[in-house]
Amino acid sequence: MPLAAVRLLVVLLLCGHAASAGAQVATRLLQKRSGGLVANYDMGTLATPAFERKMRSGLTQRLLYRVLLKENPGDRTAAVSLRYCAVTFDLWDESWSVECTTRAGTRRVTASRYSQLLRHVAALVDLPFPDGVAISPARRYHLEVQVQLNPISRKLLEKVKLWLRQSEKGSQFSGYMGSMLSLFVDKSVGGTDLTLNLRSPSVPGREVLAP
Amino acid sequence: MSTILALFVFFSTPTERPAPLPSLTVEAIQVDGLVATNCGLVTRILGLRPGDRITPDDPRLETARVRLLALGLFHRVEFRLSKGRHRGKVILVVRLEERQTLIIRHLFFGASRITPFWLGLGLQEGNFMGEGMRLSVAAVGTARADIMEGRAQYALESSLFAPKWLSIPLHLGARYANGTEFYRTYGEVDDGNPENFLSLPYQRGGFWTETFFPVGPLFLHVGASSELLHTDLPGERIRHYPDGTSRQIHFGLEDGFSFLGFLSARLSWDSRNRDILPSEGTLVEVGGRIGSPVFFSSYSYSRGELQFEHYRKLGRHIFSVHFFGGLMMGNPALFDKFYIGDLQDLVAPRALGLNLSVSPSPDFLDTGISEARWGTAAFKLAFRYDYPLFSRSGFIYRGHLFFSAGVMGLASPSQLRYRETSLRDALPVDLTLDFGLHLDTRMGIFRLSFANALSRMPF
Repeated sequence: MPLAAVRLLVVLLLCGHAASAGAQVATRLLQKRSGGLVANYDMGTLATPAFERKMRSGLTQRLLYRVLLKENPGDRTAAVSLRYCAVTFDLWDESWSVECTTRAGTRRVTASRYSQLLRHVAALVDLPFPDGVAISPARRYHLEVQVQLNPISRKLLEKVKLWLRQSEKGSQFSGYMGSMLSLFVDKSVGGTDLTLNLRSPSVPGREVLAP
Repeated sequence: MSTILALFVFFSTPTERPAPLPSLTVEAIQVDGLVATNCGLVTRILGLRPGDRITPDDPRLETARVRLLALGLFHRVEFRLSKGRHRGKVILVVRLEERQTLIIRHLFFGASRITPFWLGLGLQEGNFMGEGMRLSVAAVGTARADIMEGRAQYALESSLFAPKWLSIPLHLGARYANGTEFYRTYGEVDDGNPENFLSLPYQRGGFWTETFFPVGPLFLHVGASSELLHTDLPGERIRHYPDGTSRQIHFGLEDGFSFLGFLSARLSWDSRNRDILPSEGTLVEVGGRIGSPVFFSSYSYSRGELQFEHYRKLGRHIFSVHFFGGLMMGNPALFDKFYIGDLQDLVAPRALGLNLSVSPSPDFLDTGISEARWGTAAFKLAFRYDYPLFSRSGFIYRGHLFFSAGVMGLASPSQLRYRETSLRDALPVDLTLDFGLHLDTRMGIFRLSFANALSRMPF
């Protein structure tokens, strides 16, 4: 029994160490590793009440993350990385199944608490960029992240808009020319349920390259 | 404390490989947020019924969301599930946010030397009877024309757009006009003095219909129009020229009752990024109409049109080119011909078909354009520059400073045939220009421009 207690203590301490190490990794916005450049970024502002309602909707929620690595001076896009997550809430078990895909592969997890879910969907953890991203120690880098919740495909959206446009201008017989005010109601079809644009703090390149 | 946290983290670390998504039975459908729209319309488009089985990622839900958005009635369409009476049974909750449906569509007002003032309004109900149909009503009226035997004009127009009738979108319209056409009997061609004009009264009324459908990446619009026209052609039909010569006037209308009717088609390709103040993309439209006794028309003619617009953004600057060309053959009625005000920015355009001014084109190039009011061949080529001042949410969405300049032409065969100068000098072309501010607001599009003001003032 004492041996089991010691083992448990060791496990707990190891876990504690691992967690604190993970927290340290998460604080580095960009890091060059042997496998390439990765990004860690907390997107806490995503966690609005509206976002939580969507996450608890019982229907699969699709999240698309478009991450740009920006280089300054010049505001040049040095690299782009995409992440796609599908989140489904089980109404009875009250848990979320999360499936996230990046260029590194697909990861499936289950979260039993909302805070756990946020750790997956409201944070980028070791998000890989394509190989061969050149980081200059003399330049500064930041991330521009766009998160779209349930985006409609651009092609489909264009099709819908085009259809609406046809009905608006259908009246070729109408003599409406000559009006001082020509009202074409902006029937912009919201492409997503939510769009969030974020910009990270800027870090120097030498910090990114540091081991 | 850190140990407790570590334990928490350890045991709450998400597990791999969740169970596959469950199959659920729709116990009921609840639709929230409807004010003007019939619930039946939403459930019809939804395509799901109680008892249907769905999964949380069911593609039918995404399709239904897009179809509901495509009605143009809702700002927002959201779905969620709530627990049913038993495990595996769910209530599908549809949350909708309706748009404002009653809007002012058009405002007409202005004054000219011959028409002391005109005033009109167009209203549109975008969700008529809660069925997603669009009802438009417009009316314009004028004061009595300041001319011998002049009279007041008025016109009414109404149309209904039914997106889902008969499985095809359908426009149905009716119109009536009690108007006056003005024709010159005396004076120089560039003299807009009303005393040189006489009036030709007419009444016309009828119906039109149109539908459209996709053809690959294009849209094909097909329509038909039929109207009854009554005119009293005046006895005074002689044009007296300052040099003492005179010529008989051909009105292009039959005396008494006649029919105006045609069949039309228009092929449209549109890649513009938006309808209002676009900054990228191209619009190409090729259309035509045929008037023939077959379509209950007393006037046999054919008319072809080409419209081209291309927009390009360079930094904050937007450059665009606009072209319109049209040609008619046969014997079209006066109203079906091209009108100077529809091409020249500096001349008042028609309002619901009513002619409101006798101002000629300015004739910057000293050609025969001043004589041209109606024609069977027309073109306009214009270049436009836009500078977006701002783009934001709020009452005014977008504001553009703009400048446009171009060349336009309007001709009829007789004008070219009976000329006193060389063909080159007689070619009825002119410059056209405009500049001002375009505002895209919650109330509509306002064009505060030089030409808009000028064409509505009594010069």
